[in-house]
Amino acid sequence: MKLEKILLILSTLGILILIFLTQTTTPTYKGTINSIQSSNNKIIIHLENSSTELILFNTQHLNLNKGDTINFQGREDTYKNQSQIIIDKIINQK
Amino acid sequence: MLTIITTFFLGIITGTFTGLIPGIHINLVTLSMLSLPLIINLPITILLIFITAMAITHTFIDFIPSIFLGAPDEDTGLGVLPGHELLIHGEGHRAVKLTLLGSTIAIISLALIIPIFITTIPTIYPFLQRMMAFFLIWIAIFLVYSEKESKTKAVLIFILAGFLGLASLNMNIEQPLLPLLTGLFGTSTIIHSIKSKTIIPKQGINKLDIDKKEIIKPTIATVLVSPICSFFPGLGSSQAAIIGSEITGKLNREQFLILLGSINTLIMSISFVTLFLFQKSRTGAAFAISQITQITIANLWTILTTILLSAIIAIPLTLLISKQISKHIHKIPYTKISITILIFLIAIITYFSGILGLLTLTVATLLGLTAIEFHTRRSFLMGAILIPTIIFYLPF
Repeated sequence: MKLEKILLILSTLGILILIFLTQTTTPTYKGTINSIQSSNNKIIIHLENSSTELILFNTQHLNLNKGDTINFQGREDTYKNQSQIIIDKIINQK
Repeated sequence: MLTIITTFFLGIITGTFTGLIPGIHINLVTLSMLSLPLIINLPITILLIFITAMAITHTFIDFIPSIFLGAPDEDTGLGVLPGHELLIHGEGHRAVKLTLLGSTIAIISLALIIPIFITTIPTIYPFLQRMMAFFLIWIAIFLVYSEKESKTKAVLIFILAGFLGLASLNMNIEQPLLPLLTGLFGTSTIIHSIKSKTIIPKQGINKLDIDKKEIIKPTIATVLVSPICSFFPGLGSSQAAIIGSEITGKLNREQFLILLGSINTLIMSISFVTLFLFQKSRTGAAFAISQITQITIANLWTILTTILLSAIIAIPLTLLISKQISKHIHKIPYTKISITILIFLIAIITYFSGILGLLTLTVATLLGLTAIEFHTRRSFLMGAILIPTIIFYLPF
């Protein structure tokens, strides 16, 4: 088989794999905490330069402060016309 | 005053570094810079001078790795072939001088273009913005139509690049453009040159002898095309150069290099004016400025002065670096340099974009190599940016 055909097949396969990965992997977001509110076993986080609220239900072993940079994964939601992300996973980078 | 001068030269040094090292783009520096907390405390003028000096110097220097190492960025991708041809004939330094001549023309043309741009573009901009997707589609069709080799292969590469771009930009990776563009234009070229076992002859360092008439066509093309392309997202210097060369008629190798140099510098310079007029950032440098401040007329004057001063420094600097490389490149084993750069690029991308970035780089490299084997113009690989941009701007 000619080299150009092999390269074309490999490129196409690679692109398909990348498309598959974009459909299956959960995006990770990054942001800096602007404010934190705690209430009824949940934490509401507001980020700098973002109107979306982050909702965190599992609050154990977390020491979050204003100004901390966080990486998080979660699902988008809307509650009373307020855009929210319900956090599944969060990492504090400080 | 001392702070301003220091900042200016720091910008020149950083632009030289980003221009010379393949894979390190000014976008990377500006994005890293924006994430630094100390940015808030620095005066706006200082930041403007640094970013502008770095960006303009970069546009002068970045043809050096493209011509001598075959390792371009997205703006110099098309310069590889004519530049490499001259390098093989011992005229690498001449190729750099031609792009430098183009950049110099761009700086002089700015005096003519900016007043016209400021007075006319705001009137037609709302119309252009509404029609953006259709203009970009028309440009894509124009690029395919102007392809001299197989049009089918060109369309195939363009569409595959589009899918690759969509996948990469939607993937959960840091700096997705870095592996994408490095693979499409950088690593694929390097692997191809390793495979071709390129031997670099001794390079001549002669005076640039070019007929003044030969400068006219690329100058006209630059003046006509750069202002329009400078506010179309997804269009880089390479696409602008193709459109320009189609408008003015056939350009020879030397004229094409002049055109690439001039468009590369002009698009960068005009991007600051575009930011001032429409608050739209078309380049990484303009984006960085947009994140720092709302650009005023005073800021614009600072930027334009910095552009002029940077060019005055960047011209002899580029000549000096190119001359030194020309003197020594034949002594250094080219394959070893290429392999070193390849390893360096892989390391940089793995560091910044992780394993998924490395996967993107691999696929982009394969597609870049496919385009080379197809003998298709590499600008079709810019479908990776153009197609996602067209989709974004479609009104439905």
